[in-house]
Amino acid sequence: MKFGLFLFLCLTGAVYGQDTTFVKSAYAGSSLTVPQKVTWHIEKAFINNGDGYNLKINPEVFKPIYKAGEKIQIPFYTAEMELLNNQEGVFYFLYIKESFVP
Amino acid sequence: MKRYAYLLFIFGMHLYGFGQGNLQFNQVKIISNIDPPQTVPVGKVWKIESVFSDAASDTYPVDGSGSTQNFFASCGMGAFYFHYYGRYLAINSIPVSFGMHSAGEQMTNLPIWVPAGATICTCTSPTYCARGYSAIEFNIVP
Repeated sequence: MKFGLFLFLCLTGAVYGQDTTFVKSAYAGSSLTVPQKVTWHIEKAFINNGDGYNLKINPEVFKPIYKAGEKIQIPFYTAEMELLNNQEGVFYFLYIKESFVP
Repeated sequence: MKRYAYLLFIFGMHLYGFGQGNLQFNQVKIISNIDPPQTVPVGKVWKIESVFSDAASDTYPVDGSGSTQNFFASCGMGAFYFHYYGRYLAINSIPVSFGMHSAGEQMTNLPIWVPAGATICTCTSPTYCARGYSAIEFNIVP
């Protein structure tokens, strides 16, 4: 059983451990802060209002690069929200590429 | 054992988050009832937002009576009993009424999501058929 757990952790580590791209979710109008010693590049972004699909938005609502310690303001409104049936409780999925700053 | 089950659950939920469908706005379409049948292209999905009335069916709720007609023969659908003022479309040979019920509610709630490969047919009778419809086309993106 211990070997099984070891194998499981190794496999998940192999898949995710070296990947610097990850997904963060945040509510419209909220903010995220970039951790120290890294920069963030938002590769793509989606909105979702609880329905079973994500809607891709124009990534130009975000800056190309966010530096360490910088605050990312998640827009309260984007034009793509007009395509949702319900514009309340909208949250964002941000696909972020993280780069380490030496 | 419970611990392993918990770990597997967390891992599974993580994968589920990446497995959602993603859409990207492509265009808005307005289809008239004199346009040919529309098939949703591969890699797209349509969201029918609105169905248009003809002048007559603006003022009358869907009637309990009607007649057997062959409105959607071009889409391979056989004869069917249609109600007056039904504002019909056919989606994959299924007749769908968008008329107003006498109680004031729409017979079929909008929006309707139509998948790739599905065919939407219109008919032209002013007494029975929708005048057209509007749809938003989305790309299915990774």
